[in-house]
Amino acid sequence: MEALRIAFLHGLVAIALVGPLVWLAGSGRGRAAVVALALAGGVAGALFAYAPAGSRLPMETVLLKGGTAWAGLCLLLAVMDVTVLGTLRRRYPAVRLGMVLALAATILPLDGIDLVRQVRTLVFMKETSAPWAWAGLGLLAAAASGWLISWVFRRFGARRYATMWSYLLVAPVVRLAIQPSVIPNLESIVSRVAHDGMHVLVLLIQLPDHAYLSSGVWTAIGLVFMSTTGLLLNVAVYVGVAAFVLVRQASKPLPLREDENPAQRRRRWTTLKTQRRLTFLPIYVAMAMFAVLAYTTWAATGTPKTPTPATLPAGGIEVASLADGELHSYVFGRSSDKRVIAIHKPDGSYSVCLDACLVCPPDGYARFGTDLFCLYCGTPIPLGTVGQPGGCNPIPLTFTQSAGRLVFDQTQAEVAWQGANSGK
Amino acid sequence: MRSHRIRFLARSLGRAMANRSSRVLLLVAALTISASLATALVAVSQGIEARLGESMRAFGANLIVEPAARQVGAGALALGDVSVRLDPQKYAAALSAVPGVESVCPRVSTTVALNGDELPVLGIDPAEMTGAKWRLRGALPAQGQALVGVDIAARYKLSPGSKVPGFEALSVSGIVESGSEDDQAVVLRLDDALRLTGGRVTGFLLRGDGSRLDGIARAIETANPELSARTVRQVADAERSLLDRVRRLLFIVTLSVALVSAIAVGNTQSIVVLERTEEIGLLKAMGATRGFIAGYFALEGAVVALAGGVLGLAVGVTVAETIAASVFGATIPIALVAWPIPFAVAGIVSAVAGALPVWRASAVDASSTLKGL
Amino acid sequence: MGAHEATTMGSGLLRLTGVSKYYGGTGALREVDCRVRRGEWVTIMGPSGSGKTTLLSIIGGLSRPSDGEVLFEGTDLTALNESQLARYRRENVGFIFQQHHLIPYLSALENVMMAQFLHSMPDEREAIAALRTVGLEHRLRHLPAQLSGGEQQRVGIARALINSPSLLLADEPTGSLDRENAQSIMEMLRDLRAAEEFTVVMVTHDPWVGEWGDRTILLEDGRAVTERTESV
Repeated sequence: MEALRIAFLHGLVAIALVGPLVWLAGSGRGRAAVVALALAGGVAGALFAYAPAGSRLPMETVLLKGGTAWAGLCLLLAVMDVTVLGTLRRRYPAVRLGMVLALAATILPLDGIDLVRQVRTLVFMKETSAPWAWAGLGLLAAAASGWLISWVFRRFGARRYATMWSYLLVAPVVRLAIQPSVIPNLESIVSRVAHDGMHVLVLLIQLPDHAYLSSGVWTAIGLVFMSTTGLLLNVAVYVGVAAFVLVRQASKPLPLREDENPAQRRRRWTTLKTQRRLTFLPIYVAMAMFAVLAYTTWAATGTPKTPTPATLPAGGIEVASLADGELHSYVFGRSSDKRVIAIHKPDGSYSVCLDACLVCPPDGYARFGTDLFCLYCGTPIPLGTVGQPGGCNPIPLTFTQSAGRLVFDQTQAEVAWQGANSGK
Repeated sequence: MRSHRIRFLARSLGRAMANRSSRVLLLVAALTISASLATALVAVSQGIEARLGESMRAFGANLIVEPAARQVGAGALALGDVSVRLDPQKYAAALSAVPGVESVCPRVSTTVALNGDELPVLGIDPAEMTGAKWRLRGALPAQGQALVGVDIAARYKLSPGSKVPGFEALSVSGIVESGSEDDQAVVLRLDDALRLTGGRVTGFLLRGDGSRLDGIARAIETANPELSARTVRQVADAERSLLDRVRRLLFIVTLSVALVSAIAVGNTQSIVVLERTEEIGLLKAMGATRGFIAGYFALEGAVVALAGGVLGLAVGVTVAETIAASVFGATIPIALVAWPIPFAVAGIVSAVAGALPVWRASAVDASSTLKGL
Repeated sequence: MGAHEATTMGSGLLRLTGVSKYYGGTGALREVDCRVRRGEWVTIMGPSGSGKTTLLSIIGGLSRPSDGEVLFEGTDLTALNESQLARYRRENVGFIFQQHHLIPYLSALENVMMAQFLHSMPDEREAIAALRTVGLEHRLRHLPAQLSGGEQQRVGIARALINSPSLLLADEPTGSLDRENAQSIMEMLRDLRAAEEFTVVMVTHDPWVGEWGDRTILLEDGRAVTERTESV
């Protein structure tokens, strides 16, 4: 049942992406067949990827790496097309169709995996209410933004930029760029580089670091790397495709014919409208897709959870109390002014860290989805990397696990706390 | 050039229906009846189910021990108004001694009269309140304090610090929300409650070793023949089987009502098609296909079904809440799954009953318009 | 009339070969052969029960002959399936009925627009223009019940011609009108035909109506007895 649902969603992605692509390719005959094939392929792919239920998807890594390589290749192809392949493509429709299909094949598996992942998160969370109401709202919002974009295009006469090749060039780049979650840890790498780079820069020009950048600025910087931002950009890309197609088609004027009477003209117009409606079908499906995507992502994120500090239990942190997978924080030290955090990570291991990093003032951390967030600068830290030292990661503590308790050296922790926070 | 096909279709459909408003109203009424009945049925049984077992699950208890004379019935979970009461000290010791029993929680469940209302009262050991899967706003009751259910708090506009209705000496320390019938109860500290019942309790909630609950229950009953020990599952099962029987009965009633309204709908639709034969012939002469005629009438059926669904939802929810108010004395949340039901019922009845008339309409002989009248 | 007339007039539009129609055992039409040329006005006359209306409904694609062949611009109507026949009706044929057959709950304008809707899509401006042509611009929003018989029939004409059919079929178009109204209806048809060059096949038992046509086909007991040319 679950697999069916995911397969269905995956099929929707297939239509949403391949539909417009193939449509843009203007392959005419067999267009429906290609969409149907992509749908079937997508469904089969998702079922295959999901087959070893419960275990980690072994296909996932393969597809991710393969997909990334493909993306590079196709980008190269697209760039070459502008220069070399263009003539070939214009002469042979098969080359043109092949390139479009290759690009579709590039984008699809990534989306499929992402979707499967999101759906799984959703299934495990089960915290949501009225999912379809949200999906409906998302649909409305998507339709409205699609209309708005197409209106802007029409209003400002930007139609001539909405070509197939501008889309084909832009879409994969944007997709890869905005969806770093597809490539594990890319998001954190990017944000780490940006964040640490800023610190280094400030250090180089010998200015006191955070004094000049208020935490509001850091929050704004953090926002850029938030998954919601990625989602919004993602939606924009989908809506963009829809808008391209809508604008190109809908603004095509009905050519006048001299020998026609009004009835024949009405007839021709109606036939044209019906055909258009059919070609718009994949776009409507794509819009429905936004809704699902928006909802799954929204449901998977939720609100950041800031732990309330508890007193550190005398015998150490009880493992059982961490079983909820949430971030827990404890005060310790002679004057109870220092904090540690502990978490049971999704991979099964435990981490005990100071509630502070080397860089920011010790405002602490909150959990948000699969990331910790620095409450000062908003940098996301994937749970998988919690426990590793450096940058804006919480400073890890050495601890031992015995008799169901996690024990660490409080004196050392106090020293580390003072070391990290002096001079901030 | 803009196409107004849909607008025109909607307008002419509206005109056609307004032209036969009495028949349309009859159709809507027939559909509303079955749709609302189905909605009310589902809403009420969902509401009952949601409350099933909640009162005990809230404590994490898996065994319930009560005087053996008690009957299991629809009101079994109310635990109130129990004539036989037990001495807590004697039984607490006896029950704790049974192997496998991990904790024993005496519980008082009774009612007090307040302004002509029966106010449910629970008495629980404050230590047990912490283990409860309740959402607690405020604090646990200290001496001279009590908790109130969220429904009571809303009804009497209570907040922590107010006087507890019916117990002027006590003040509210917190408000609990459990999603069960405890929301309508005043929750007293056990000692306060025991004063109401003369030192007797109405039952015990036990936590026992989950792997051998049946054995523990048997052991308790063997040692204390005057007691009846049932697992929470058994209680819930008993409730559920009763509920199932009620539900089956209601289902049959709904089905027969749906059948009757289907016949009414089918009849009316047939008459409408008969009355509009000339019009259908004309549309065909103007080039309408059979499919268009069928779609046109099916669309009319769908609009009627939609109206029946909306009305059915409104009426059904009202009926369900009325039933709930008279049976449970409280509102029931209408589960999200109940919302599409009136539309589905109205749609199915309309589709099944309308199939033959629609087919007949599509089969009208086009040349009949030429024959004159 | 001129060169244009010569090219369109005269070429065959309809050809019926051996058309028969049986209802149970009785034959309503027996082995009827006839031709209608493009632009012609043909009247079908005969006593009641002679099969006039049956012939008209076969030409209009409303019923199928039991036997024979009906060629419209070279296409055999008997070979078409039901939806193809419906398409033939909406794109090529306009009907005028004795009982007018307006939809009672739609206004005059909406009745015309319904024909547009079934053909392709409603176009209010075009429909208003059509009603103006038949002199009803002041009656657009009136329901059929608020119109006189003559006015109803004029709405019927506007409706029949709104989709520019090549074939106008009329079944006793003046049968329920007084002579004065009948006169104005017939004049209107004549003028419209002069402007739009459609072909008319009209069924009547009224010799006065028959005089308006180019040619009359006389039916008797299901057979085409004579072809009488009026005024060509």
